Amino acid sequence: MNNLRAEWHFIKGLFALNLASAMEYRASFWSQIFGMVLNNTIMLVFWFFFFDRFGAVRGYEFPDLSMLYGIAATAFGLTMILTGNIYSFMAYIIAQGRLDYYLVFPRNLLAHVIFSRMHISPIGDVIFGLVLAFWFIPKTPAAFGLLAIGIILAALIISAYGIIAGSLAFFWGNAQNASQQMLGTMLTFSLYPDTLFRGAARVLLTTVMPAFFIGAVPARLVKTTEWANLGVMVLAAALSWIAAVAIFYGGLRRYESGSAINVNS
Amino acid sequence: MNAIEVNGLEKNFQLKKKTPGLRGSFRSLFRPQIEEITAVSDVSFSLKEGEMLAFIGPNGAGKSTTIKMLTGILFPTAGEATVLGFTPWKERRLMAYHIGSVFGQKPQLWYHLPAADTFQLFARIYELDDAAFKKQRDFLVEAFQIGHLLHIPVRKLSLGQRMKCEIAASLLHRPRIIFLDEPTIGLDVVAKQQIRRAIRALNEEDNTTIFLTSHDAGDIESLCKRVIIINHGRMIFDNRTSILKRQYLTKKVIDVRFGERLDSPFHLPHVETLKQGTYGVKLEFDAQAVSVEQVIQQIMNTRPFNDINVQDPPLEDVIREIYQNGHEP
Amino acid sequence: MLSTKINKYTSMTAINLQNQLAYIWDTLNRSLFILFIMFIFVQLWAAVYGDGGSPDREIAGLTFVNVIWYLLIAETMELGKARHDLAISEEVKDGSIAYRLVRPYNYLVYHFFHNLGETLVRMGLVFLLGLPIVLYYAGLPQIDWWIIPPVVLIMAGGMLLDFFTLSIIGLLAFVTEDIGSFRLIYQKLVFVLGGLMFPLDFLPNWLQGIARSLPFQLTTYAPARLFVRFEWSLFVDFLGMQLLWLAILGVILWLQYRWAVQRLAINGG
Repeated sequence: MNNLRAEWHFIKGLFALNLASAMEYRASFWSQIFGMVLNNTIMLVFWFFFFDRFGAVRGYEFPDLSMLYGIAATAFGLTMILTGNIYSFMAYIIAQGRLDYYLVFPRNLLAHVIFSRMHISPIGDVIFGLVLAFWFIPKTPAAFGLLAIGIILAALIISAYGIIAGSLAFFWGNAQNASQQMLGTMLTFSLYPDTLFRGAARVLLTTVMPAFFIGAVPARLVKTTEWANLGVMVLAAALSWIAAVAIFYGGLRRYESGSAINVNS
Repeated sequence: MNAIEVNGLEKNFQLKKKTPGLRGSFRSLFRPQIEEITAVSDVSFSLKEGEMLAFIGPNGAGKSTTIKMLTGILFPTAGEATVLGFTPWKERRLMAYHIGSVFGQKPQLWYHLPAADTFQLFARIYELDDAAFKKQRDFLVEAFQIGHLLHIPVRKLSLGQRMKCEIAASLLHRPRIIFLDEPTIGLDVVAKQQIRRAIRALNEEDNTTIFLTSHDAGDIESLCKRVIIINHGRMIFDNRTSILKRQYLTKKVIDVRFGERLDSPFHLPHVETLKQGTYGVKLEFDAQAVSVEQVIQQIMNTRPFNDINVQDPPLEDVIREIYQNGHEP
Repeated sequence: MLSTKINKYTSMTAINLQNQLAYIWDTLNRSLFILFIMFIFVQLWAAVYGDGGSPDREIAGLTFVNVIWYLLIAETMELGKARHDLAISEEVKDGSIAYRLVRPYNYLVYHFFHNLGETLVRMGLVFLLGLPIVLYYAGLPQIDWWIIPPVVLIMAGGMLLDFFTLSIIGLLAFVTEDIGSFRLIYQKLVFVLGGLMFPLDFLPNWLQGIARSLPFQLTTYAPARLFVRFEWSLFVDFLGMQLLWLAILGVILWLQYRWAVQRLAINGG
């Protein structure tokens, strides 16, 4: 318990410092937020005209897609704000031997790494996503409660996936592009109706690249209040975190701290 | 109790080999040739608490790899080590409360923020109580003379100022051992001396064990009584600094630039003239036969000079000499 | 004389082309996006077309095969684009544009040819990577091969138009610090009004009317639409619109460029 309190105290300090550091280069702060909002708006405009023209497609109508989009954008935004290192930086830190910095401290390594960078601009995603979700949510307390839980679970799955992608650098060396690609691809898939995909694609998108759990499943959970969906999501979040921790600490044994480059050959 | 105990430490790295050219790229893509490289092998030594050790060797000799294994950053391939009774790669977090480390080329301070902010974070990281933190901080501010630097964003500090803050930051939790990897690289003479003085003060005050790597013979001479030299991953010398000096660091090289033209061949007793130009000379002498002071005095007596620079022989020469003398570690 | 002049510029293209080839893995990696997005598009449009009718069903005059090929061409045009607006704005900000302007070549022409190499490699890669998916799910495009030259002409016109627009955006750096937002707005307008996400034919009539009178459709929609359903009248329309907008944007760019050069001459960068 004492241990946990110390860890929490430390992470709070880390956040404060992150925020101060992010404020130091806020030059393009507003234009970045604007960019995020514009980006999302355009995608939604596309979907509006799409459903306007074709009506329902595989069980999805505009409100369904909006809910999916709102949840995915919020969850992704939250992970980028709070655990900013998972998007491409983690692979860089590992490949370039920057993990040394974290390794000499008496703190939980993984927590220290992922919480050590904060992006400010995804606030745009979070605001946009929440407005969208609130707009289309059934106005019942249960739905709002499930929305909050769904977003948190989705964010947990994204960060676990980011850790797995970043940890590839332990095994492949320069995996920065690949890890960024993996997260980006998952996000892309998560923004489309899950019912579009069948067969093998469906299996892949619920296991190896759990994109359905970022948008489609939580959106359905909020809409239908089906508790089975909640169970599935909790299970998915737990499993992805077990995998993330195992792969990260498994990879750590192979960490080379950039030394191989310096050794005379 | 020994602060550090190392027995047969070994570390190998796997290196992907690529033959040059496009064809080589393709081949290494499908059938990578992996070569195993030994960075450190059979390193054994022990260090008493309060000792100051210089751990030196040429680039790529295995110094950093050894430090990284002792600080828990790297897993060794074979061998054993304990630091303050902990096995670094197994009890990394427990050990981390009691050791400090400074890697000259890997900054710990947050770049965009003043050092004081990082100090605060470190207080949380090491779970220091407020009184202890403030007391130690004030001591370090005094020792490193960084009071006026604490509230300036780190990116605006000079290299020397930054390094003083770096070292101070890594001492906030009063570590019992401090690992310093090239702490004075690229610094000016004044900053180097301030850092050396502060480290010595720390050792006297707290009996802190110092493990230092450096390319600067000045660091080694002014701080450490004991030297280990490592080359190609193996220890080739482990003895007192005074012995190293007496046996191998005896030669000094002096560069002089005079204010006037040299017309005749330059010659001093006990001193060999390596090179002579129109305005300058390069001299070499044995510091055991004649002192540096005497030589400079002699030079001053000949004619006025504009610049003078005394150097130790490069480490590579010392190592060659150790091999030639058949010295066994 | 002329040939040495042209040589000068083509060698810029060649250099950047080689550069791109050297970073082929990196480029390949970034182009992988097309694989996933085409796969998603195929599923999406299969659902639209397949769920309620025969495979030859037409929506707004386009079949499923048309739409998939349309999207491949549109994405190829979009993802192939280089980012010379960023390069220009960087050069304006750090002042190096002053040195570039005095070199014995035209600054904008330099950027155009420098870009061309990169654009061609990226377009080729994007197209080739997307092709297997399109062939597997949609088959051959069912076109007459003689339409390729006129389509390529419209493609070239579209690329030039895009180059003009991005140059104008890049040179805005003389006026404002951050041109990123302008580029973003332009890019996003292309998404819907340029027909990147789906053909303009699917938009409601009122919006289609607006989109068809704007230049955004001329880089992505025009070549892609012509490729899947070639009509001479459409070709003439697009060509005319391209020439008109090239003239308008060309004048703006020319004035802006002259103003920039004068300003540099006075202020010395």
